[in-house]
Amino acid sequence: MGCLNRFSNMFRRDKMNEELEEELQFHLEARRRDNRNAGMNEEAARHDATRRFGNTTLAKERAHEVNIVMGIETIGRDLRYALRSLRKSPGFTVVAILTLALGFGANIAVFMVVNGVLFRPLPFPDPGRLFLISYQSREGGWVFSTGIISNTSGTFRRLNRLQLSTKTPPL
Amino acid sequence: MRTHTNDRLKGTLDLLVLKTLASQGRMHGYAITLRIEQISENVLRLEEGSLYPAVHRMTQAGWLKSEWGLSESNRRARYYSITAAGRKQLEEESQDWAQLTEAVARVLKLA
Repeated sequence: MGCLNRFSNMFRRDKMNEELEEELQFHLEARRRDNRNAGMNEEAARHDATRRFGNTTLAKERAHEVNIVMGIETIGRDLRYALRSLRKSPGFTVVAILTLALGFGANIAVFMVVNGVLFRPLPFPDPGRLFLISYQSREGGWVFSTGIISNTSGTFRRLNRLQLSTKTPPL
Repeated sequence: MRTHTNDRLKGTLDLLVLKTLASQGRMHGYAITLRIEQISENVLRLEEGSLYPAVHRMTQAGWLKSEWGLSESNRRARYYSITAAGRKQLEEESQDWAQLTEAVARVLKLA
């Protein structure tokens, strides 16, 4: 069985259990039939079959254990092998680590910024009422206007106006 | 030269199963049990439940391969056959067994 099989065994537990049960039942059935053919009655045939088999539950559990445990053991072995081969090709390892570090770093930086700016709520009791309008003025610069919309009258109160242009600002 | 531990019983069962499959080809668990009983003239009567964990372990280790098939009585059964790795293991285990019996014989004779 390849490592793919071992890995998928961990997930196909129910099917594996079913198949194991079927396999053991086949054995018991066959023994029972042979006993009957040898002349035993039904009761004795069944009794002998189970006696010879030993503890069915135990057998099932141990067989099942084998399939699961081998998977875990081999993962440890595979990990150690992977570490060894990485050590043997240092160039590749360094490049891989740098790439991962770059990816992680970029992600963390972006997320930190987004977290600080977007996800932290504004220090204002009802941030939904704040607004910012920006437009390009006729003179060619940008104007930014911030304010609060009143929640009762639908009007707004302007807080700040910022004009950026190359010309002198209006008074 | 392998030192023999208490895993002897497990190793011996492996040996019997590997040899049976190597010479008989494809068999299901019950057939293996019967064959071992028959050949050993009923001296070796294993607790049959212990066969299945062993056979599953050997399949996981790559010494056997298993597939579902139809038995003589048209019932579904899992058939096992030996692999190349299994044959190599059989070789090794046979040698270990020979060593063990030699060692025991020596102790019995000279101790």
